[in-house]
Amino acid sequence: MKKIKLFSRYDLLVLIVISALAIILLIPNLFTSDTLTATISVDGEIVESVDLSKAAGFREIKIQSDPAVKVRIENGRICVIEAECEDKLCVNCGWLETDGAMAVCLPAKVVVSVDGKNADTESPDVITY
Amino acid sequence: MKKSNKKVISIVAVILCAAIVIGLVSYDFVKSSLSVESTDIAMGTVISFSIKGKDAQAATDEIKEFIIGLENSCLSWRVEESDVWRINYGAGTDVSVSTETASWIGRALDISADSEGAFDITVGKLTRLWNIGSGEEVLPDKETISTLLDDVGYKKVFISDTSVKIENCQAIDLGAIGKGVACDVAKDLLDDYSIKEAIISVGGSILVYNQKASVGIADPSNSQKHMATIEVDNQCVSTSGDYERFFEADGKKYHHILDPETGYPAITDLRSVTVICDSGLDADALSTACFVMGYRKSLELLNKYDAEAVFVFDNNTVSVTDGIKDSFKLTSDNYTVE
Repeated sequence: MKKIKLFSRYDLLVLIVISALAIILLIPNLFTSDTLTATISVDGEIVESVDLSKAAGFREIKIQSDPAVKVRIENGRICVIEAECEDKLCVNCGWLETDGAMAVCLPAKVVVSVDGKNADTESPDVITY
Repeated sequence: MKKSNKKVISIVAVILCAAIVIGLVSYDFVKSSLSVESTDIAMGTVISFSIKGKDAQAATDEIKEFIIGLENSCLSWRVEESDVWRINYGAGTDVSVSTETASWIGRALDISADSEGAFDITVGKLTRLWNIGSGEEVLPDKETISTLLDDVGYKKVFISDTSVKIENCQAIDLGAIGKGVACDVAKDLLDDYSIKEAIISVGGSILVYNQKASVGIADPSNSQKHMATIEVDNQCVSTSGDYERFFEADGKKYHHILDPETGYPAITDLRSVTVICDSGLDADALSTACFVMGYRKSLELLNKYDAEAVFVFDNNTVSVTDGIKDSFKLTSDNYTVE
C-alpha cells in the first residue's frame, strides 16, 4: 500500500512557526499567577511595576510625588523607607512581601501594593482591615 | 489520495491551527480588556477595584467619580457645604440635606439605639479632639473630654426625609460608616451596568458583588498579613480593630475607636471585629458597635441585623458566629479558634 503523505516539509514548517508563536504569546500568562508583583502608583497612575520574584540585590526608587517618598526593593520584598509626610504610616508598614500587602502615603497619594501569588501560601481575593 | 486533496487537507489543517492560535490569543486579550483592576485614593483612603464584565471600565470610572462626590457633597465634616458640614454648622436648626444623607443618618441612629449607644455618630467633637491618625496626636485632658462628652447623644438628633437637626454644641461624624456607604453606593451603580462580578475595597471595607470571594482578615499583630479567611457570597464585609490607627503616650496605646460613654478609646479584650452582612453601612457600623460592646453583648445585635462576625481577642483566640463557621479558615498558627 502506498504511504499517504499529508504534509509537505513546508506545511510542517508553517505549523511549527504557528505553534511556536502560540507558545510565546501564551506562556507569560501561564506563569504570571505564580509571581509576586509590586506596583507603585501616584494618584491612581501606575509609575512602576516590579517583579519581586526576579528582583535580585537591592534597588531604591525615589517616587516623584509631593511629599517625596522613597522605596527599597530587596530580596523579593518592598518597603517604603523614607517619606516627607507627617505621620510616616507608610514607613511604619515595614516590608511588604505577601499578596495583598499595601503601604499608603495619603498626603502623597502614593500606593505601594503587592499582588500575585506567594509560592507557599493560599492567597485570598481581598483583605479586610 | 489525489495530490490536490492532500493539498486541501494540509491547507485546512494550517488554517485550523492558525484559527486556534488567533482564538486563544484574542480570547486572552478580550478577557483582559473586559476586566479592570485598579487602585485609587479617595475619601482619605485607598479604594481598589476588581471588576469583570462588558462595562467594567465605565462602571469603575463612574464609581470613582461618585465616591469622590459622595465625600465632598455629603459625608465629609471638613468640606464646606457638604451635608455633614452644614448639619454641624447649623447645629440647633433644621438643616435640609439629600434624601440619601437623611436615610444613612437614620440607619446609623437605628444602630445607635440597638447598640444602646455603643455606636454613636455624635462623637464628632471628641473624634476631632483625639485626632488619632493625624500624626499630631496629643493626649487630651480629662476635663475637656468630660465637657465634650456632655454633648454626645444620638437621642438628641432629629431627622425627617430631607432634614437633620442636631443639638447646639453637637457635631456628627460619619467616618465610621462612610466606607460602608461607599460600598452600598457602588453596589447600586454596578446594578446599572453589565457587570459579571466585582470586588471593591474601600479602605478595607469590602463589597463582594455577584460572586463568591475569599476574604482575608488582617492579622492585628501584623496588618500586612492575614490571619484567617472567610468565604463571602455577594455580601459586604467590614473590620474594626485597635491596630489600624493609634498613638502611644506615657507608655500607653490609644486606638481610634472611641467609647461614646467614656470619651476614651474603648477598653476591651478584642483586637478586631469583622462583620459580614448584606449592607456596607450596617457592616461598618456594627463592627464599630461590636468592638465597643464586647463579644457577649454583640451577639444579640448581630442577630437582629442578620449579620455574622469574627472576633479576634487579645489572647490570640478567635470566635466565629455559627453562620460562617464552615467557611472560616485560620491561616496563621499564632491564633486558635475558641
